Amino acid sequence: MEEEIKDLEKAFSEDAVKADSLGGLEFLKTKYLGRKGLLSEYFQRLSAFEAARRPYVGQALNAVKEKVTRRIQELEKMLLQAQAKAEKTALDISLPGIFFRLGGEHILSRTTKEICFIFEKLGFAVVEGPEIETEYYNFRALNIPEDHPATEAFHTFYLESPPPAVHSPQKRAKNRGLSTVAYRLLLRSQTSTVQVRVMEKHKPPLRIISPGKVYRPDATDASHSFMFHQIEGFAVDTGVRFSDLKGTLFAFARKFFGQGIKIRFRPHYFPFTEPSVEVDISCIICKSNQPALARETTGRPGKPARPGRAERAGVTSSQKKQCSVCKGKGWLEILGAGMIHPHVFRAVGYDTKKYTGFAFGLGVERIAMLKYGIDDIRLFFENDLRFLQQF
Amino acid sequence: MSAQSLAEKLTMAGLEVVSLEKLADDWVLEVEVTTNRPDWLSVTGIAREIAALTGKKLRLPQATGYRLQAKTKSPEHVTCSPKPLSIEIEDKKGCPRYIGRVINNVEVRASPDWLKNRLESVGLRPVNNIVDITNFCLLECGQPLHAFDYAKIEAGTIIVRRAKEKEKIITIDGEERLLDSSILVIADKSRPVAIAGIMGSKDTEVSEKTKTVLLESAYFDPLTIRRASQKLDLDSESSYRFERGVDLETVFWASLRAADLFKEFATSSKGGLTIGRMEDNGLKKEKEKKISLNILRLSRVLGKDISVSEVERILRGLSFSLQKKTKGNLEVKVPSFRRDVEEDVDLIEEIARLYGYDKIPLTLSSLREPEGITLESGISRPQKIIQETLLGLGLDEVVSYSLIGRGLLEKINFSIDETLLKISNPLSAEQEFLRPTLIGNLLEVIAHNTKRQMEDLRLFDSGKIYLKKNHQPQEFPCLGLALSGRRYADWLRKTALIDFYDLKGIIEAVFCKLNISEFLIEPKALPCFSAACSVELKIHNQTIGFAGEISELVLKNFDLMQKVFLAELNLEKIFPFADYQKKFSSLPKYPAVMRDISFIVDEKIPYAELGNFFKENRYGLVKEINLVDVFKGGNVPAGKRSLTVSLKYQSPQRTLRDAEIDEIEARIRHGLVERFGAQMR
Repeated sequence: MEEEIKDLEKAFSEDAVKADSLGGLEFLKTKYLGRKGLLSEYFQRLSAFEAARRPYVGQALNAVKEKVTRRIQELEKMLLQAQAKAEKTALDISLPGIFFRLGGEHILSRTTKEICFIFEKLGFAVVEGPEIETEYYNFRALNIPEDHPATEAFHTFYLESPPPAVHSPQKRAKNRGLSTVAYRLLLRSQTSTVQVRVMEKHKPPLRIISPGKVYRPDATDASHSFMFHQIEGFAVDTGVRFSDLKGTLFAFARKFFGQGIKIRFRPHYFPFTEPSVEVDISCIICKSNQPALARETTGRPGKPARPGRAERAGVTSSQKKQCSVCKGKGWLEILGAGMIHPHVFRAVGYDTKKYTGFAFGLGVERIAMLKYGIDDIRLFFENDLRFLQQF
Repeated sequence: MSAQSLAEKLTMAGLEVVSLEKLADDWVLEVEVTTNRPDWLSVTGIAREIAALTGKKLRLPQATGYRLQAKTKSPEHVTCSPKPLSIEIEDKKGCPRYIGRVINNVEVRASPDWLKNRLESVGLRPVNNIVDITNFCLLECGQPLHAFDYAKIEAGTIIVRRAKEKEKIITIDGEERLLDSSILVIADKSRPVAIAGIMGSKDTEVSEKTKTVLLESAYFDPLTIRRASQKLDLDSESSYRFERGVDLETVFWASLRAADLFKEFATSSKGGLTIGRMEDNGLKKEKEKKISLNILRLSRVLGKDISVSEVERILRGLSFSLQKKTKGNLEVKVPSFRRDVEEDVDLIEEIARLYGYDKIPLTLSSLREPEGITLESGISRPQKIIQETLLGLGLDEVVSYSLIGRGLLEKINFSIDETLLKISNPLSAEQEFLRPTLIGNLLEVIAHNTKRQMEDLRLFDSGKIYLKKNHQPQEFPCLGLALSGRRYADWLRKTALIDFYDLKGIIEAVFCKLNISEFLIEPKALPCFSAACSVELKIHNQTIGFAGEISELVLKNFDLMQKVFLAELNLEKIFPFADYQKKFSSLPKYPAVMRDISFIVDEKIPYAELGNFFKENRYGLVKEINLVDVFKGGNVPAGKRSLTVSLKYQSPQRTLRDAEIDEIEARIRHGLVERFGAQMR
């Protein structure tokens, strides 16, 4: 038996030398240490020995098993190291990773979301309104009289078939002696329509933000589009003040454009607010916000372009130093706002003595154009992936 | 004060200076006048504003005016009607006031240089002294004037009336204009000699031969002028002011002022210019407006206390007069030229404007929490979920026009019928309809991009579609999906093209995210899809959308050379089925056993039937059913396909034994053979 054990040990040594791969080693392991392997076969035979010899043989067998186990472990370690080394040279880590396509949010969606998010943090709730509207909601209830020059700012698409009154305020309008013309259907030219719709259904306090598409039949060019996006916001309560409007919009501008931004409130006119204001921010491109608003021009200027619109190409060499976005004015108009006109409250039956409110409306395209320096509004709707994927 | 700082001051008071132009020794300010302030459409109006802003005194030019009133002694050059003049106002609503005056023995010649320069500096073309004087007065005080050649006015009679139907006039610009009874005209005995407030007639125009001028200064109803101007598609410096509203009192002043200027610049070397008696007809003054202003309310609206004395100073500076003062209340009399000021908020704006918006503080404190409206209302929540899902799946969002043209509908074989919503005043043929589907827009985007070598496209548009339903226009939030090009293109995997199953997978993912499991896909022939791949999507037997492969014919209409898979889901119909409630269920304690079943069946048997069979035969232990392989060809007989379905067995109570799984599996296999004639592999 001792002889056999020695032979086994010898055979193992010979086999071990030949095991030069992990697969070979596994085979070796099974052959000697496996459940049905050679060593276990020897151990099984132990019982056949007389009791006195059993411990001696057993000891010898255990010693071999230990040797075999250790040797196999050594071999395994060695082979794994060798393999790791080999793999290290085989794997070209510089090959590109497998491409996972990432979807891109449209820049208008994202800008809308960012703006709404800021106002939501200020306690405004998002409410959406219909795009197909009546003249009542788009004009009359907002104190825009029929055929008034003020409506020129709100060129409007009308729907063709004159349908019966669909929207709710039939009775109300009748009581106010409005003509049936007030029921003509149109595509809203502003999101302010939502003011009236919400106030008809809810009592103050209200803080609403409402994004959506609006439509105006303007000839399409780099700065005009017949469809664009607006965000309307308004707050109504007892004691809402003009200073709150200023505070709210300032908070928004700083969050959206950055802490360093300056903001300016310029008196303006909107039929649905009084006092009304246009809000400018200091130019985010040239950051100059110099006090001089108007610049000296040589020769007669044409119809003045609004600041920030896409007129880069028109900048002549004599104006070279001037910022192309703010046209050297240092200020960029970003939104219109004001205190909600009592006429609007009257249209929804609010007590004008009790409640005051502010409202503001901003154009998403314009804000995005300013923020990212986009020079043509048509790019938003062309959906060229080379454009979309920049954001 | 420098021109720049004046411009800055005006802008910050609401009269935006859009440009400043340096002339030799002067400045031209171009201002943007808001529609509520017609009083700013003149030099006087702007001077008044500057006076209020700077605290300087306003000095207006003298209009000595050769006022000929019954009691005053006439100056020597004012004769009592050298020529007869009679004025009849038939339409008193359209023309509340009309002042006519005859100026005799004028000499029509070129204006002096200063006058020409003045006009040219603001872009007006000098014509002759008579016309130039009327234009100068218009710019000076905002009141449009018109000069007729008196000799051409029949019988010296002016009638302000509505035009007769089909009446015609040739205006100064040489165009013949067809009038109707909505249009107010100035007529003589036989014909219209001017379209009131807009433009005079060619044949009564002042010419070199004119010896006698009839000078008109009038107030015309803004709405009447505006409608006429729109109807005739004709506007002028005059109509621009009339439709915004001129000042009833300035009508008089302007007539005086013009007379002064005629005397000075239209007298011939021989002299003899006489100015006739003023024929002033109609309303002389409007009812005075008085507004009560409460100082407390002022500070409540603005969020800033402004002292009474400051308020008074500002209002007086703007020509408001303060009638009386009770404690905290001012009674404010509104000057006639401030037609825009109607109630106290209008005064509050004036005060805030002049006080300076910049001096009003920033506050946030007074805002109370709204009730009843949740922060996320309506459809914004599910839309957000869908958007996030699609972005995560690698789709790019597009935003496209809601207005489309007939051509686009025709390209996608969409029938143009009564259900479409039509725009009555489109600017172009591309804006004729509100889109009834997103398909056209999506195909346009795909065509745009493929033409620019961007061929692998996965897009979604969550815009609205618009349709008439029960004769009512309605808008539906929708989701459009469009896929084209390669599924993936990398160095590791074999390039494969996108197919219907990519589209279906995306739709399934969206429904999964909304917790909707019970949706069906059924074949349905739709006009823009290929016959082989055109399906309808249903939830609980209600159609909620469609999907398919765009037909070759439609692809051709867009010059597309690659397959496009497209779906449109009506979100409003889907959202009621969405379920956002999440509930926890405990994790399984016992291991699962995975077993595959492979079998060959007739390829005509749709997988849905087999899938349903598995779902119906779970024996309480089959937790998951996954199709893992579909194979045709090889040793699979023609007309058949081999399927491998992986089943996951699991019990919440115990570890499953091989024997019981074997038994269930045998039953399933048996069922497959019995029901579908499957051949086990």
